[in-house]
Amino acid sequence: MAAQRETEGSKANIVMWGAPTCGKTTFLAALSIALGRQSEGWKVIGANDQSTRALVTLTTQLSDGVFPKASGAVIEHYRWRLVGQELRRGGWKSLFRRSPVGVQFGLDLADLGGEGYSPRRLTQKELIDDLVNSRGIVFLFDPVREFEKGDAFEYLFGVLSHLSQHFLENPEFSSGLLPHHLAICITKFDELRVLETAEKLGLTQPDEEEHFPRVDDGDDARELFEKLCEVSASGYGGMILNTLEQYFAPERTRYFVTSAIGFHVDPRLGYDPDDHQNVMTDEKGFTRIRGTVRPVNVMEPLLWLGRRLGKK
Amino acid sequence: MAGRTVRLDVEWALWGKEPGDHDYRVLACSQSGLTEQKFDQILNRFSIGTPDTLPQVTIVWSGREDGEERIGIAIHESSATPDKVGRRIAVTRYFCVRYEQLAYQPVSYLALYRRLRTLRLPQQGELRIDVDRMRPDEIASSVNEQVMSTAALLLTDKSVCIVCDDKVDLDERLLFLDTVAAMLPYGMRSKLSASTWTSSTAQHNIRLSFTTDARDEAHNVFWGRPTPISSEAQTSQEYMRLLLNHADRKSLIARLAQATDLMGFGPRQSRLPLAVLDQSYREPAHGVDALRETDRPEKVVRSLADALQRQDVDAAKSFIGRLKYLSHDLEVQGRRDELKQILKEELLLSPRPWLEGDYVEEMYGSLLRLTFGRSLSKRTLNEVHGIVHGVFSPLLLDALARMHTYDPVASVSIARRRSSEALQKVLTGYSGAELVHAAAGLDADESFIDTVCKELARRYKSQEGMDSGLAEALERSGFLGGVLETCYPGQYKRQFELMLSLLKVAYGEGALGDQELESALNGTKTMPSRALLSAVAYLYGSGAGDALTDRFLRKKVEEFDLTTTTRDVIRKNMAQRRPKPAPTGGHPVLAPRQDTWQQRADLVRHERSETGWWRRTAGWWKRQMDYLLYLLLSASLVLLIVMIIIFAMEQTP
Repeated sequence: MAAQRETEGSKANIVMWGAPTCGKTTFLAALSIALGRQSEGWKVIGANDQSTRALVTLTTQLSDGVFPKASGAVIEHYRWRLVGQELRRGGWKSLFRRSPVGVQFGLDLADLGGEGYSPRRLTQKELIDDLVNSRGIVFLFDPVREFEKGDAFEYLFGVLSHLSQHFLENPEFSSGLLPHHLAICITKFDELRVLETAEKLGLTQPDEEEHFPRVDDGDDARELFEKLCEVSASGYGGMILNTLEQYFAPERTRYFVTSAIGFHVDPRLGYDPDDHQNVMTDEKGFTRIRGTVRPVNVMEPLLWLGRRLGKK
Repeated sequence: MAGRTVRLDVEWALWGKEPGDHDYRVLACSQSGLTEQKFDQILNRFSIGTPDTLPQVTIVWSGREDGEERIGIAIHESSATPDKVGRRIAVTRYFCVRYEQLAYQPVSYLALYRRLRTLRLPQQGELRIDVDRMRPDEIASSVNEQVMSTAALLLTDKSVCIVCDDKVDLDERLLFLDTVAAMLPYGMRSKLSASTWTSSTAQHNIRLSFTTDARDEAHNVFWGRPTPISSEAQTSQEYMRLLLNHADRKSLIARLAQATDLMGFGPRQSRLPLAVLDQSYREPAHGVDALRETDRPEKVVRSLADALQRQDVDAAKSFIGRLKYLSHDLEVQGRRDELKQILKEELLLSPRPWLEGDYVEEMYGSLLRLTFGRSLSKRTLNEVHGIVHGVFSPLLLDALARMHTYDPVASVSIARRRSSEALQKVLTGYSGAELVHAAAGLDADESFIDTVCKELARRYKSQEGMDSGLAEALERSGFLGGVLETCYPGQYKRQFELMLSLLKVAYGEGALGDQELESALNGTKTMPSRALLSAVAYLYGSGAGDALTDRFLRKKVEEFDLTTTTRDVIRKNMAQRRPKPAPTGGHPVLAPRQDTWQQRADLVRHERSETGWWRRTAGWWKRQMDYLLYLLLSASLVLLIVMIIIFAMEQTP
């Protein structure tokens, strides 16, 4: 029994996927801060000592203004839990009105340095195993890297092919679509070029509380993704969206425009559209976070995945 | 007396990013033995996660990459440069040494690290360094019960994590790892990975490491606290008991360091270290101090040769005893070239009928150990062959058979010379996959290949000891095609027959299926041999040509990394078929029955594209003319009928 629990514990239900430097670990580091900034009562808790320590270290680093170091070529497993309350009907007392009910979603995350997804390296068996056993994927697309280097397709296609091969004989693959839920996150929304693209397309609208811009999840985010793919340096950006739509069911896919560190908001003056960059570079070329971290759409993809996976 | 230092040839690689780079990669390497790609694989396989504190040190073994065992040390350090996104770059300097260099002149991990940590990397080529030889007395002072129990726990199939905080510094961690390794047979270092830090959330491949938090799936050793060994780990308990029984730790370390046979970890091999330890308990190691009184090995061997020349039995026995003493000690290392010369000149490996057999065999054993080291390889055997001019006495063969060897080619070669029973006994000790692996190596000769093929056929016939990895090993070796070509040049029939037998061993009797064809041809990265292609085509039966194209050629072409556009053109070209030449006479040729609908459609399409528009237009005119002719004929017919009717009416009164 204990052995079985161990085995179950070592599996990830959500895998972080993306090219090097696309911000996978920073995204996870921002989760606690994102949850701390919302008032819906959600919190993230480590399910074992090592996961709790990782959560604390990542969060503390980011809140100190330091980006996490680049992940190595080894898969990090974080066993976290999203704990909160949701309004649900239940019992005769709440027949006509919904009452808050405590809920908990498992976030058993696998995070690997982007180099691990490279087709130039031997695909790690552990990575494919994690992907096969998981049912949720957070795919991070870095528009800045795609514009400068244009290699997101490389980091997608090789691993996706290996993954599909494993599902070839699986009845879940009978429709030709993978059974995973996929949260596609367009990262670095705070970067000037990404924000300007969204604004030119008329996809932004101000956040109700902080007034900085946001892009609605779903169709608007997908449109931005499509346009950003078009400016890929390699010209293969357009294939990313097509490939993702060929392999994942539309009802199990959702698009999010995210920023792990968010926009700079002056504590006294608030958000200034002419001075919103939250990253600064020192004289040696090292980057730091300029002000406080205000994650945009970091909690939402994981909460969406948690809810979808919880239903299964 | 041998010196206190050991000279080593070191391969190296630098792993990191250039300033402004996005991705980690091998930035430079020695480019002498291991390639950049191999270094990349090794460093990825033993990644430790992202350390908070640098430097850290990882002990890395390698052997899968090119079949040669190496012990490596990776030093992870911080750099002063940012990467493309402004993060500090961590660099890893990796150094590795061929195990055979260390097998007869052991060094400690700590000594290696101390020598390498400040070493500047050259532009290219191997490094040559001098490192302090392992000193059992130095390590013995660090042995305690926690070290022993950690070593014992390594004999299970789980990894071992030493849980401690940041207060334990790098040198202390490395000394602990070194001391634990010293409590195991030295040969286990060829498969030991260890690190001064690993991420406790990472799914890493490090067997022994320091970590900040305990892990569920590992044995956790809490620094400075008692380390009980659970009753489930019986081998570990037994090993611990044997370690505790050794009061003289210096002697224990010296004895374990002499056990240089390659040895792995895991339940299948856990009894081997126990056997080594048990033996060393019964036969105490020679004291280092006592050995210092002895002369140089070359001098003793010369004296022995004199005694043998004079047929002085007592003197010969005395020198044989001293040689045995010398040959078991780590600190003694003779000048091997000089020793080889003496063996050859003095015919020391020749038969000595006037001396008792036990002494002769002991003499051979000691001479071989001193001259060639403790491990027997095919190269050693070839050298001995040269010294004795191909004449191996039975006692010499016995002495050779007693040497440690992990080389099936060498052990099979000796066993074949001894007797058929000995050969069968040796072969039984190897799995089919191991035999194939050895046969695919550089040392394999014609007789070895022949023996392996016969043995595999015998096992297949008797269904005895067929291992699950055999088919895979054969596939990966290209069914020994290259070796067969080398060993049987021009003997195509022989190559073909052997290939058929190997395919039968892998896939059984009967015709090959598509899946088997694909596995047989695509298992190896190199191009399959002609013998393999012929045998596959033979066993596949009808349709072999199409199957070879679809399931092999097309894949090989796909693997060739070209641009997408070029690859698309190649794919299209391969998918299309050229039309068969038009028949020059006789009956028109029908499309072959086995052509698929798609193939026929392609053929028609191709024919159309070849004939061009003008020919199609000519066809149209021909059809129009045919219609016109029909029309004229019909009109003439009608006219004729009408005329007949009119004529008939006119005739009617």
